[in-house]
This record gives sequence, C-alpha cells and structure tokens, in this order.
Amino acid sequence: MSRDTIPLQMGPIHSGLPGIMKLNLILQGDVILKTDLEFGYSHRKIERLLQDNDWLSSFIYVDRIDSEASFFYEWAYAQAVEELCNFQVPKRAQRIREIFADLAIISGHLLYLARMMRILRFETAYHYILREREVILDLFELLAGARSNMNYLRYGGVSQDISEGFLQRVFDLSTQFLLRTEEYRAVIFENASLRARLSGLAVLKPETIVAYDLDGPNVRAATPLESQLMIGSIGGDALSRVETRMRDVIARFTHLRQLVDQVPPGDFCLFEYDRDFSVPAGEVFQSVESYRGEISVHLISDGTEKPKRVAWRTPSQRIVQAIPSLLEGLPLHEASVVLWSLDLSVSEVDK
Amino acid sequence: MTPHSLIILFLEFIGSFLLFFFFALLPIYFLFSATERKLVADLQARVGPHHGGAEGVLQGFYDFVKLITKRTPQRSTGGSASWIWSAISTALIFGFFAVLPMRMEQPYFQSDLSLFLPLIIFILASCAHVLFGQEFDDFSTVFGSHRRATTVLSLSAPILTSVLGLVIFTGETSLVRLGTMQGASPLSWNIFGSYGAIFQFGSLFWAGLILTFQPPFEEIGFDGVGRRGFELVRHDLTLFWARFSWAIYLTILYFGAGQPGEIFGTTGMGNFIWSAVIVIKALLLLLLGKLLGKALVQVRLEQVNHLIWKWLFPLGLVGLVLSVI
Repeated sequence: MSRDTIPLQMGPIHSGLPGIMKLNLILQGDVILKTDLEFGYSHRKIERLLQDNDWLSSFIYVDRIDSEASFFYEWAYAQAVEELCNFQVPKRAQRIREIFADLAIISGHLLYLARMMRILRFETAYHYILREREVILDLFELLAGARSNMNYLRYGGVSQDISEGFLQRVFDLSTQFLLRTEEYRAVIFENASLRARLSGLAVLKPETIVAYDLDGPNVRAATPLESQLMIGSIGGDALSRVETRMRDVIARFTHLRQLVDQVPPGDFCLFEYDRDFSVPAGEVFQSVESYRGEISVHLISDGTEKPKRVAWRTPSQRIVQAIPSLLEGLPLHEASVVLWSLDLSVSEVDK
Repeated sequence: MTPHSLIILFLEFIGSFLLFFFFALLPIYFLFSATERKLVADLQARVGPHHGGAEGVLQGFYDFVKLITKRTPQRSTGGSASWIWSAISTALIFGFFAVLPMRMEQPYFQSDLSLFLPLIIFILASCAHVLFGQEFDDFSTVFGSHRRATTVLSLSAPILTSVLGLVIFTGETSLVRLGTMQGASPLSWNIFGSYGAIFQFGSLFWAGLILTFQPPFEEIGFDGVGRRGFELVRHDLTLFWARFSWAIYLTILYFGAGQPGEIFGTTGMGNFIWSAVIVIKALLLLLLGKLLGKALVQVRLEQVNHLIWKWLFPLGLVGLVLSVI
C-alpha cells in the first residue's frame, strides 16, 4: 500500500450499510480504489436448522432467511414440497398466493424506494412512500396476522382463508395508488436534484451481469428496452434501478385490480396440518421470482418427518459479487447510495 | 475611554446578551422550530409534533427536558480541546448580531464595518474548527466537522470578493446604510433594489442563500460531551442562529429594509417595530428555505464546493473587476 492511500473499515454496524456487513476500503483521497466485503456477522445456520425440524415448523425458519421477503422463501419451500409429494394446490389457494406475491413485491419495492430516499436524505418522498407501504403491511396483518415473518403458506395451500372485505381493500388500495402515480412522478422522478444525483451512477454492465449470473429488477433496469423509456437515464445506473422498481409497482397494482375478481370459491388448503407429516424420498430444485430476483431451493428428502438437506440460492448472494467492481473509482460518499440502489439484503447472504 | 467605562460597557454587553438570549432568542427559537416542524410535517403528509404544549409549540422545550437526564457517549479519542474549540466557535457565532435589539442607538450593523463583521466572525469560527478542533476516529466524523468548516471558509471567498466589489462600487461599508440605499420600504419585498443592480444576484446573494438555507456548518459546535439536552439545544440553537443571522443579513441587503425611523418613527418603539419587521421577514425566508430543502435531495458538500469555486467565485471576481472599472 502506498503512502497516499488510506485504509478505511466501514461497518460492521453502520447506518450507511444495508445490514450487518463490513466494507474494507482502500481510498485515495476520497476515491475508492479497492473494496473487500466481509459477511457472516448475522449467520444463523438456517439451512442446518431446517434439517432438525419437521416439515411444518420449517416455515418459521424459512421466514427468517429474510424477514421482508419471507413470503417468497415460504413459496419456494412450499412448491418444492408440493412437487415431491405431487400435490395439486386448490385454485383458490393459488389465487391467494398470487395476490400475496403481488403485495409482497410491491411492499419490497416500496421499502427499497423509501430506503433510497432516506439515504439520499429526501425526507418528503420517504414519508410519502412509507404512507403507502403501511397500508400494505396492514393487509398482511389482516391476512396472516403478522406484518413480517408471515408464516402464512403451507404445502398444499395457505394457513388461513382470506377474511371478509380483504379483496375490496386490495382493490381500493390499488385504485388509490394508481391515482397517486402522477404525484409520485412529480415529487420523485421529475425532481432534478434526484436525477442529477443518481443518473450515471454505478452502471451495471452486461459483462458483469453475465459473469455473476444476476437477475431481477437490477438487470431489467440495464436492458435496452427499459432504458429507452427513461428520461435522462443511461440504463443500468442507479436512477434506472429506482425507476424500474417504481414501474414494477405500478404494473403490479394494475395486475392486482384484475386478480381480485378472479378468486374462485373453494378450499384454501388440501388437509389439516400436523407434525407427523412426512415427504416421500426424492430430490427437487424449485425457484420463484422475488422482488430481488430468483430465489431457488434445493431440497432432499429421505422419506422421514424432517428434510435431509436444504440449500438456498438467493439473489443477494449474486449481487454482492458485483459490488467491488461497481464501487471502484467512485467517491466514498456514493458507496452507501450504490449499495442501497442494488437492493441488497445481508440477511439473505448470511442465512 | 476610562477603565471604569470599559467595564460598564462590557457588563452592558453581557447583560443585554443574556436578556436577549432568554427573552428573545429562546422564545423565537421554540416558536419557529415548532412552526417549521409543523409546516414540514404537513408537506410530508404526517402530523408532526402535537404533544408538547398546544399543537406542539413547546416540543423543543420538551425534548430538552427529556434529554437533560441523558449523557452523550464519551468518545474514546476525544480530548478536552475538541469541545472547547467548538464552544468558542459557537460563542463567536452567537456573538453575531448579539446586541442588535438592545442597543438600537448603536446597532451592531450600523457600525462602519458591519458589512464585513458577520463574514469575519464566521471565518474565525471555521478557523477555530479547522485548526484546533479534534477529529474523531469513527467514520461519521472523519469527513465531518473539518470538511464542513472548510466549506464555510470556501464560501467566504466569493462573499469577500463580492463584498469588496460592493464597497468599491458604493463607497459604503455599513450594512444598514447599504440596505437603505436600495430605496425599498421595510414593508415590501423589493428584491430589485434601485442601487447596485449588478450585485443584486451576485455571488454574495447566492452564497448568503446557501448559508441561510442549508448551512454546511451543520455539525460545527456539536462535538461536546455532556448532557444531551444541553447539547441538543446548543447544537440546534447554534444552527438556527447561524441561519437566522445570514437571513437578517440578506433581508437588510436585498429584501427591503429601509432604515430605523423611516416609517415607524425614531422613538424606541419605532426602532423595536423596525427590528421586529426585519426579524419576521428573515424568519419567513428561513421557512421558505426549509420547505425548499425538504422538496429536494440533500445537497452534498462536494456540490456546494463545485458551485463555490466554479461559479460563485468567478462571479464575485467579475463583480470586483467591473466595480473597479
């Protein structure tokens, strides 16, 4: 290390970081030359814990991989078990899952937007976004009895049926949000100061995407089709990542307005759940698309009441590999903004 | 001047400052911060403070009382020198306009060098931090206090050139007399004064607005270790006072000040009403700045420095050259 470079450790606990992690930076002035990432501070050995618990109580541990995206982990896990058991999920449960998935994606994106606004110190937009997200969390509470760590899905259906008036509330929320879209556009996306700050920042290049097998909204923001739609954005930068999420939220609300009319009557689960449930021996690999990208689970059953082996592949595991190349050459004060703009969940990385 | 009269003058200064602090500054600060928080809350679709006193008017006071029982964490590397210098810079900032309402027959900014005085005080306060203030090892302050203080020093460059240009152009070094020369009534918002139009929107104006709306010296004077209630009030008051001082400076120079006695009479009450009008206009300017700030992403020090050295400083130099010609 030459004399004019400065080593700086950022973290493990730091308000500019998206979780408990550490950035070991080498700076020249305030320009980042090199970045090393350290994880493992919040490792909870979840994959190992799943082997010690029966199939039903596994959902509680699956939730903890990432509390905010808990629905998608439950969904991947439930689908894997359903495939091993060859279950046909009732139509009503499928629709409820789809509605829940849309709400979870919207909630995740809104949380992302709120955090981005917070890290940019754009308080007004931060409060506007949290106002909408609170309503969605209320809906989660109505549906599953919890605002995060839902423990709602089961293999073969969902744990509880939707309550009376739930669909109407989802429809009202969708309508209200779509009416407020213009307000969001004016306050956030037509704001010159925000565009100037994020435009051209940390561009995700195609070779990086291929090298680290990235997917999800970060990659969609870097595709030519998306970048054509943006004003002042060059595609793949932090601004396009923020805009892609907002566009996704609008699309999901539009989809929700159609979905609420398509919930058929019938059963919401296949059977009464108990802890003696066992899954036939076999091996399965299942994936679902979360709001960060693809979540995959590799599940092996030996025909007993507990899984033999469970392994998860999470989107944040892949995103973190791209961070050193994205931070290189940027000033230090942009490091937090770049990290948050990638929608990184340290909880997902550590597991 | 005999030593006796010097002592009398000193005591008079201290007395008037204490009176002003407790009976004018603190009430204004509490009322203004409550109004500001309510307005911002309304902008951000939330309720805002509503427990402390009627409609949250006394929220600042309640925060003070709550935090007085708590201590700031003792920093491992912080020595005594760190907070002494921040206290000195705080005192310097408070010295600005301190005797304004109490001694109207010799108002602070009617003195012959009042155009320079605020600038000198801010330069001294920043220098105290840059030279003697101690940095801490944790990340948040490594690039914190010194950088902000250096930015204030940077801001003084365009202000100084602009003020020099103004002085050469008009031959006047008193703030109030310059404000009077604009020919605007204190009851108007005449930002197109009749005199020195080239300086109306020059670098002095924009640099002053930066100091009024989003002071880069936000963290100056917050390195102290002690009761959090005192630290909170000291920090908030210093920040408020610094912004308020520059708002008064800008109001007198650009937003129509007239002169004491012009409309409200030359009696003590007339002077008081004139000061009150200037104060209200300055507070409105601060509120406008706050609302504008909340509608934007926070401006970074790099952006401020870029603005200063790429735009404001050359603009100040142009003004200086033109006034010499």
